[in-house]
Amino acid sequence: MPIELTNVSYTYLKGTPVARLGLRDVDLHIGDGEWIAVMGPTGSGKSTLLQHLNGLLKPDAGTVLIDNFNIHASAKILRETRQKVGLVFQYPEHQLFSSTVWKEICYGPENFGFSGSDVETAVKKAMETVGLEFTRYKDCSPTELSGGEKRRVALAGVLAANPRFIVLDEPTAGMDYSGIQRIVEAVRRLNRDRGVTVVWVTHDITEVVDLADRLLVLNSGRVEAVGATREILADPRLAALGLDVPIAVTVADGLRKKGKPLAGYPVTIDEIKQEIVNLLR
Amino acid sequence: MSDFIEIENLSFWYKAENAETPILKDINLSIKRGEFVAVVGPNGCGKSTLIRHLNGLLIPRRGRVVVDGLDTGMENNLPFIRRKVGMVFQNPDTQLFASVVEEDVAFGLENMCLPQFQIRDRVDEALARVGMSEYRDYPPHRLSGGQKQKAAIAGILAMRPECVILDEPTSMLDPRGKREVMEAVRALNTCQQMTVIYVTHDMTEALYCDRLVALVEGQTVFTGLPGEFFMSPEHLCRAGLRPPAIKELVRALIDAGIEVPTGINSPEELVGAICR
Repeated sequence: MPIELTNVSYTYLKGTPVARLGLRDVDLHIGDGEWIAVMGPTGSGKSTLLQHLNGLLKPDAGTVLIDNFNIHASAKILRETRQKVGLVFQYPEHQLFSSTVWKEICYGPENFGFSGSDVETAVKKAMETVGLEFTRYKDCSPTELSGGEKRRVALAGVLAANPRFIVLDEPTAGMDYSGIQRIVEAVRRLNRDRGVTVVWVTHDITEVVDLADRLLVLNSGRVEAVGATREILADPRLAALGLDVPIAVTVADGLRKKGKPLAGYPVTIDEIKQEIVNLLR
Repeated sequence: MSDFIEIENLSFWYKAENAETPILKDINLSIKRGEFVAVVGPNGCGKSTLIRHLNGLLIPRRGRVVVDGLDTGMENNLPFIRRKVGMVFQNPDTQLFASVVEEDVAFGLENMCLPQFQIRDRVDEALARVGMSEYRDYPPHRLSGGQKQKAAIAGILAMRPECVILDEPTSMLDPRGKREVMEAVRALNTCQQMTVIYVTHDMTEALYCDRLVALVEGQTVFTGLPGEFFMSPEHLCRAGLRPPAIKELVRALIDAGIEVPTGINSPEELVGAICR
């Protein structure tokens, strides 16, 4: 398996009076080219999980294997892991630091030892993926860009190192509709055209309901549920955790409770519309 | 209801060399006492710039803003205006700084040099108004995002403003935190007649306002009832916004020839209408 977490546990500030549970006994296998969405209330361990995937955190117990290597086995493997697994933090635009978009996006590939011409190719490709036109944006200062553009620059900075896995921590938080569409589209292209594996943390599953193969639900540092996105969304435990489920699921659930027969488990607006149309005809 | 805030021909630009391409262009808007106004629009459309004019954090380059009869362009008016209009920002972590919640809520009052017993009363009252009384002794870092944001709102309420402006107060919160903050804000408006101006990207939140203002590139493209805005593909397209999921579904059903009332605002109402 490309990504394999076995019995991973992690406690923040372990051994101190303010120790706080991060993860407990997490088992998770992620296949090549898979898109997995992660949901859970605040403090459920979503960000902690992501930081284990590229070795920013080291589990107290259990193992993290990437391509069958324990990522903490040696400094060399850890370094390779950091290049293989691109991590996009929450509000990544807060971490932009270079004077131009070009320098910002070069930073990753240069540090991973790409040669001069490879750097340029990587930057151009990354900018194209996120929908930033190279000649128009390369010399801009990140500070003069809009919030949505800044976030795409930050995403391009991670993509330029050419990762095989990309893990994103609430990549659409605080964005408007068109900004969300652009980010989703960029990641969709990476996943569908280049087979990049995606781990996508979100509070709004509707944005990737058609794209995510599986959904992982975390609660208090444990895996509450994991499985095919549709099946997990139909699980009433989600709403009980205070998570937002798609409106199609809420309406379908309400109709079933009123004794209305539905053919399937709709998750999109189109699907629930069709169910209602069939019901009333 | 009388007009509490009047915005007349407001234009604004940050740097003089950008005067030709202002961030806000000729905005006219009045807000009545007790109204709940939502401000929506794409990133960079000028929402935050607009609301910063309403308590004099920014002063119009052209036109004027009058709050309860006081022009924000006159510096002597600003202390009075800022007591009338309080502001809550997006990030709960950058607004709280004291070691316990009640100290944080008391901060503004201490600056007003009120006697101790009055501060006590006002802090208690403000915490009660957002349902945070039991957390008075908590350090802010022990609170959830929603609770932090409600503590920040209490800090504003303690100053007894007549109007509260909230700039995307829920965009960094999880769904539970969003609901908590939204419910507290709605209660302030409906039960306590507070004037509320609410900037948001979450269209489901905007459904509950009295009046919706949509901005695009610094201009108002719609001012009116949220139901009207969200059921009009033309308005939505112009503003580049997606309606709340419930409105999108109602629209899709109507387009498919199903008769459902356009005023439906929740999944429960929709299920009720279908099963009737």
